[in-house]
Amino acid sequence: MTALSLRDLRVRYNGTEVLKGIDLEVDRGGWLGLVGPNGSGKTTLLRAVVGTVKIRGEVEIGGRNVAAMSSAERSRAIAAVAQRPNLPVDMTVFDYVLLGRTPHISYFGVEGKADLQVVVDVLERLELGALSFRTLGSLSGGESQQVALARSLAQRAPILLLDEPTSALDVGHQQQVLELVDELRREESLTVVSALHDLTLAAQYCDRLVLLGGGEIRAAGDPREVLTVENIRGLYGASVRIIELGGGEVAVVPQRTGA
Amino acid sequence: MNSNLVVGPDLPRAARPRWGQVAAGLSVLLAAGLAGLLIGPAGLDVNDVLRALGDGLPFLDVSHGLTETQLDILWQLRLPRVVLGAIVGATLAISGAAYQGVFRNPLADPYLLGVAAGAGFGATLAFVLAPGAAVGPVALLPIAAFAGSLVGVGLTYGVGRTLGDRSNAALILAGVAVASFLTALQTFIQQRNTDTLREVYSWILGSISTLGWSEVLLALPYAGLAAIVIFLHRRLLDVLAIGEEESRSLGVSTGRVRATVVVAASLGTAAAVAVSGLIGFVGIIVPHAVRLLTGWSYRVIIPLSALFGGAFLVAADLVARSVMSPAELPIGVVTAFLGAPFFAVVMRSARRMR
Repeated sequence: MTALSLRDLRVRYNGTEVLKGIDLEVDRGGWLGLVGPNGSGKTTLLRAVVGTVKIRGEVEIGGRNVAAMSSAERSRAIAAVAQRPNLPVDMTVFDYVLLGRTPHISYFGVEGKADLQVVVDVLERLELGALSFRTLGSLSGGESQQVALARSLAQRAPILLLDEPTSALDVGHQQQVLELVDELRREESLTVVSALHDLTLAAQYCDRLVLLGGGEIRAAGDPREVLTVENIRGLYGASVRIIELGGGEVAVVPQRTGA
Repeated sequence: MNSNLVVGPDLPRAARPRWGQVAAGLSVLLAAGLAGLLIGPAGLDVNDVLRALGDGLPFLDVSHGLTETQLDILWQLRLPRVVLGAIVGATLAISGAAYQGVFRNPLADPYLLGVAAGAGFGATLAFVLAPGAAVGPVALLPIAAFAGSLVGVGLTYGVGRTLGDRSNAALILAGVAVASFLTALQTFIQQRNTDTLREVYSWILGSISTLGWSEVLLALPYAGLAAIVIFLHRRLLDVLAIGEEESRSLGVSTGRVRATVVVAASLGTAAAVAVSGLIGFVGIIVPHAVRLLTGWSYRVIIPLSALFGGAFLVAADLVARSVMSPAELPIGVVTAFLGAPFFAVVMRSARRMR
């Protein structure tokens, strides 16, 4: 079943087209990775799906066009974690994660018991309960990333968008966050779309990749089909080796050109 | 599982003021108000005043020892002055908090954003061009002040944006420029109309000395409406703390929320300015003091700022009319005397907040 589909999606910033007609579909419970060099349109594509930029073309969630949805309705269907989430330093973790309930609360309304319970459950699930009453300013980079993820999970949306969820993390925390996302995806049949810089991680976690370049889709499909030496040289201008790791996994390793 | 949260009936709660905090705010407000009633050239006895106030309540008949003149001083001079001080102080404080939330800028204040200067300009125009005019049953003065306040905040926001710098200081610099410009315009108009000069001048410096119940009635509907609208948006102001884009991804129509709150805060500021002139820094001192004591949430800051802002201005007025008695200092001088150093402190800590 298709969870998310984009048809001829276009975005302009100040007269320049930065997404030039994107067509793609993501199956329910799937994990689509967006890869591509800086400025290729990964973040813009995520923004277009969330609805924070003006678009042309169509975005459908579960078969419904988002143009026909209210902004709260849309936020109940799609949750997003920004690349660098704003974490007000003196807000507590609990209050921050509670903000994730916003699309479920009426304009002048306040949180009910059910909303508080969702936050408690999410914090339990992510094993962040002990941090509940810490302020955001006191968290480490890894904790911050998990707390931002917790806020998006509190939205209880079936689609989760992640913009470079691991860019600020060391290898251990990268793995921890991505494993967590994968577990949640399986448990709650979440559909995940994430932009990822690290091509090896993208190949490991995503069941499909879309390679963007200059606002267009240059390749799409199984990670091994997308991550070829030619594709990567062509778009990133990087020289790499693709190493088969067995079990269908691949690693993308940069290769020095000089010396 | 490594958690200290209890799942069940004892859920953690969303941010809200504690009863103790509300009680403290009310006590301070009542204490300031009582001091405002008792202290002055004509000394009134606390017992008599409390009894006379009780006697003033409907269906209550309490004997007291006040003479007719003392009763007049209490009911026609001091009480309206205290009530008006509380209304103006509460309104300026929550307007300041509201601007701080909307602009995500801890330095925002009705005075520093050019809102008060805009209201002053609008009010002066009304003063000079059509003194005492009314639109139907509604006095023109607060409406002109409101229009001026919107011009002020609009100009400041526009100029701030063109600076291409979204820092806290850029908006405030724009506000200072706009305030100076509007104040210059206002002074120009004032000087060309010397017959009303004195009246306008004393009003501009901020004074609640000559005011009575008619000003209370003039300001109350606007101030009350502004307070209600801002209070209803307190949860959404908390959401805005995570920034424009992330708020929108949570389904909040940020443009609508910002516009509504700015209009409400400007209405409140205009109402305050229309009756009391330009009183600076209340909107920055009070919300920040509350924030320091109680934390980040506007659900706490806004109601408590109303109580402490009211108390603060009643106390400032008491100082203004006591230190050089029988002469009176403009109340704006008192708030600026306290507020300017405070502003410097906030500016230092604001650098950390970004």
